Amino acid sequence: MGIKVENLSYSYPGNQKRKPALENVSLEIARGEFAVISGTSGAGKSTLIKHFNGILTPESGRVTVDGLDTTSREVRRKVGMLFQHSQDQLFEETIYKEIAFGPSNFGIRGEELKERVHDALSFVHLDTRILNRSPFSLSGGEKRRVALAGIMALRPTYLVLDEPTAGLDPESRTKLLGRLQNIHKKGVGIIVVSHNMEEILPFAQKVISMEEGKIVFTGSPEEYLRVGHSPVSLLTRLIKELNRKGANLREDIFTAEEALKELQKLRPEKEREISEKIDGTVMQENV
Amino acid sequence: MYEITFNYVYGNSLLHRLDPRTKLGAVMCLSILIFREGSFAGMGLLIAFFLLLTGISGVRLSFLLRSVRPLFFVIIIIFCFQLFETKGTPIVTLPVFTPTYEGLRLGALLSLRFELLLLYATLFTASTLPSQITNGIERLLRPLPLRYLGVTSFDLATMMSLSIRFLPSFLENAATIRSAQLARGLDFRHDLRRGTTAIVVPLIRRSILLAEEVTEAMESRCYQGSRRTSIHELSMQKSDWKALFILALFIILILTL
Amino acid sequence: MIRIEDLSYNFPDGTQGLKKINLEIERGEFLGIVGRNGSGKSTLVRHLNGLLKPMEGKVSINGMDTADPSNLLKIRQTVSMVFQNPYTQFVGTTLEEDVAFGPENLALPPKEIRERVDRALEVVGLDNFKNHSPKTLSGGQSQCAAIASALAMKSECIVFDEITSMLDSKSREQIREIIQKLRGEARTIVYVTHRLEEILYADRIIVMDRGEIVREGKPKTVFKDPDTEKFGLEIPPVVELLNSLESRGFSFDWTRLYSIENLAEEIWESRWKI
Repeated sequence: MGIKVENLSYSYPGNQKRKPALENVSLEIARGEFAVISGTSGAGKSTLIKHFNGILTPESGRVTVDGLDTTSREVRRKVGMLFQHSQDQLFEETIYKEIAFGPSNFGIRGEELKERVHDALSFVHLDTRILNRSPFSLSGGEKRRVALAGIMALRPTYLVLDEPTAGLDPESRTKLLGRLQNIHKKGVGIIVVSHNMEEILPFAQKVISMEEGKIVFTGSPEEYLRVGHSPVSLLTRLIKELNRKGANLREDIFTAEEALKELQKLRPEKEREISEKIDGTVMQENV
Repeated sequence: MYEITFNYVYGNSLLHRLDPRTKLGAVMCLSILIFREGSFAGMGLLIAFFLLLTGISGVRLSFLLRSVRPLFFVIIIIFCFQLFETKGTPIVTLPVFTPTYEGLRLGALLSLRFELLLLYATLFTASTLPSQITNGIERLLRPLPLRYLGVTSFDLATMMSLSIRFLPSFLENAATIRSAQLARGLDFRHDLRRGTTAIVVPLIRRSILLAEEVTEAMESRCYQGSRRTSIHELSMQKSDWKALFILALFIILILTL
Repeated sequence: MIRIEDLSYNFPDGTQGLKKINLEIERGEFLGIVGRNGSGKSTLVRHLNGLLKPMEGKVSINGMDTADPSNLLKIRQTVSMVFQNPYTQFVGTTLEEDVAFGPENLALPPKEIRERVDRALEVVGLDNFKNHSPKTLSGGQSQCAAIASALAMKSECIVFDEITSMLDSKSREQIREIIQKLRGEARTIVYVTHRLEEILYADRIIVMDRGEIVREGKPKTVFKDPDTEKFGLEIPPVVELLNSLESRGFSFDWTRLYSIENLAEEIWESRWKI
């Protein structure tokens, strides 16, 4: 079970002479896992996720979702996907129709459709009174929430989001991440593509890091920080910088409180150093 | 993913360094020549001239041939059409279509013309930056009284280069929106009309947004649509006049042939 | 150099954008503007180069009224803007042409354009990418290109409108270094952002909410304000750490906090105080 990618390679049509967008990529994301895919622009992240729901089909290699081949239509329902600028994908006359678009494409009708729309809407904390309004009357942030509701109404097993926090202010970002956490608690697997690792890392269970179409790291967030692929948050960078100066502090730290506790080691350590030195000389004399 | 470079190949050959106006003029003259030319001897000369220019430019011939390959199909159709539809002496007698000698000649000539036209144009774009092309066109249009139409040659040139710049963005947006709607279960085979709306409406909205942002950026950088200069200094050099002189000689040669 | 008096602005759909803003920005000042999405930051800065005209009140740049169309060209030469989206402000087909776009509009002689472009690209460290197309540049590089474009205008003041919000942490770091460099050249800088850590060393910060300026002061005081989070801002862990260190008797030279190296140095030097 889970999303399984084996030896996947892919080049965009007409671009064969250049380097492939994906080269021999293998990975596994378990059901219910919260994974982050990181990497710079052009590393192949977006190309990779488009294979998860069959928008792209592998040139070579294999992608399966819960054992199903991605050409199966069921996979498209299982793997909900929200792209960048999701606020711009809206097109229906009313918000109700907008959210219902997905499930109705999969043949859901009547009471169940209605229930799903209402559920999805309350999930993103929007009032049901707006259901008959045009989606274009909403603010940018609200449109994004409607887009998310439109995917949640599919009741996906996996939710894939491409740069969901880009351009959000800290408040909206925290709310969105809280929502993702709630979805995750319900057992839905979350896969976030992001180049802003410091925001997502505290939530993640697995980090996949890509460079030039290849996977260069897979592991836990703690490992990711320790391996030090790229310094993530300013806090981590500060601690790394202090370590370079001679401190010996833990680098997998997310909060100021933890950091302060770590920093307090700086002082006793200095004293310890001195006492160790004294001990050392004493011992040498004894010998 | 999407990029329109007009097949530009970086280089510093004589052909690359010529003023874009010289090259534009030459391509136009040569195109007219190609269309007028009815003899295989003249065609041979035109082909030789093309090979000579390609040699000077340093652009690989295979690259140019590859660039026109997508249109090869059209050329074959033109050839076949002429071959079978021209009346004359049959080569062999077939029940439905009969190829004729006259058709063979005409078809070969026409498809050669078409191919050569494309090749010359490709060589031009391979040795001239898109911005240089627009720049050259702007300078050529400048004496025309376009302002009576409410536009300036500067406006036209900016419009051209913006289209070249933002067409890839437009295509990319279209692809993203298509992916987003596919992810929501959109099935074109099921309902084409709805599927089209689901893509066209967001695409238009997104494009307007894009245009607004571009306008803001341009205005902030003092764009007014009036007289502007260019970082690429256009000035006819000695080599330009020499090139035009050689071109004139070549044209006379072909015409007198 | 910039004076804003009783500025109000409503959006075409009637919602209020700005409410009676009064603000003066001095020459050479580094002003940070923060606030949640829709608080009016972008609307405010779009008044600084006449992209928007005041509905009420007055905005003047070096004494020039932005409402007077005959001043616009001069105003836009004085105040440049760098926007959020790296791709839509890249109007050239190559990097060099993009940076040249502004000076070209000023109808400068080609030789001077060339000089300005080369100089600007050198400052942002992209001098080896002159012939690159926007597609072959990363988001961070495109944003550096946008800064170079502003520099090529040789303006007195540059307004940065959330220029890092689409970038990854590495590119943000590069941008931070460039901005720091610019500041050394006695230029007026208006810097709009969501990220407080980017304006630790600002001369002054204003916090906006619902179209109004709700807080104003030195970074040190604004960051310690318990209300800051109420305005949709997030005190980043690093700043939180700074605050708690200061309450333990640390005193930082905030003007040096434009780089993490300097911060580490300050902490390391007085680590016995922790």
